Amino acid sequence: MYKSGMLAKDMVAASAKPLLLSILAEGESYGYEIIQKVRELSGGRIEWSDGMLYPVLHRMERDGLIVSEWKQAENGRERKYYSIRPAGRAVLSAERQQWLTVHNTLAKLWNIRPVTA
Amino acid sequence: MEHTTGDSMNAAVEGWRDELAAQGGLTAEIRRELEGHLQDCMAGFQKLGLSEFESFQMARQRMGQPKQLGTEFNKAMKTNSPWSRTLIFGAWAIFAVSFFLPALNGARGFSCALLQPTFWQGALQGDSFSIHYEFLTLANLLMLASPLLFIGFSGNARVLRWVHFTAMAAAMLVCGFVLRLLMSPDVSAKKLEIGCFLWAFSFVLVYMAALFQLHALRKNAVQTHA
Repeated sequence: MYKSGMLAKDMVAASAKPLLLSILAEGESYGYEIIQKVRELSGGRIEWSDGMLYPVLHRMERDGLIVSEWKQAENGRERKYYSIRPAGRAVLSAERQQWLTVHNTLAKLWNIRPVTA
Repeated sequence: MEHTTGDSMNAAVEGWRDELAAQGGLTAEIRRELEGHLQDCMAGFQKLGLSEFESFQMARQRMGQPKQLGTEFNKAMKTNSPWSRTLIFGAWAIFAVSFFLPALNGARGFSCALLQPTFWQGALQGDSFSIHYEFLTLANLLMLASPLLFIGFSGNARVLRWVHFTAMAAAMLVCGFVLRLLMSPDVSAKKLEIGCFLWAFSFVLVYMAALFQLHALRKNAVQTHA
């Protein structure tokens, strides 16, 4: 589903939903901006095939986690902006707990300082 | 740096649009959104110093193959269970037919359904059988709305979960009522006929339809996010 140079494909796929929800929890955004942000935050280690982001976004919208709206961008063109819905925040909270559980378990095994939720 | 005329550039973009349009799963709105992304991506590459054509080539490569995009969208959006729609329309047809068949003591289904005023008094006096009967109206209303619920919300897991639990409650309510009639010590009440059983069966089918559709959604969600 995704192209990934550094991170394993399964990890990239599994982290797509929490990443998208976390970005949208900070404010509305659009596809290109989301991809740029993931690239920047991961230092290029999470590399999504741009077009493959959209089926995931559309799926999440249909599941009621996010909502989209066409708006005019600063360059005059129309863009589809996505924003998180309350149901999406609830899913994000659950995902956060799960990822932190995995992280903290591995952190203890590897003697790294755990993260509090 | 490769340079190309405006005409060749337009032809290349038009070719990309045609490739997208040829994919069944990509609606006009999805294509509009993807093209917007391509243009954003091209603008990004042009800022880095690439020519318009080079930017297009790079952006196109990043977008992925149109055929693959169509496949991914199809996989993500088509979640209908092959069984759920058949079951729901079958249930509705059986439900409708059952109202015109003999249901209880020779009376047809619709006559039985119009007995609310008779049982209302009993319900107000706390008679559990009458209260049970009055609640069947809610189950019948759910059945009437079920095809619309399935068509409108077949892809919405939250609504479907609600429909699933409501259909289960309705099926239990209806089947429980039929069982009460069967176990009633009143001999005349035992003369249940085909209409009554088909009516109860239609609710079981709606529950099964909701179950199949939810299963299809969950299966699809695993495949899409994996």
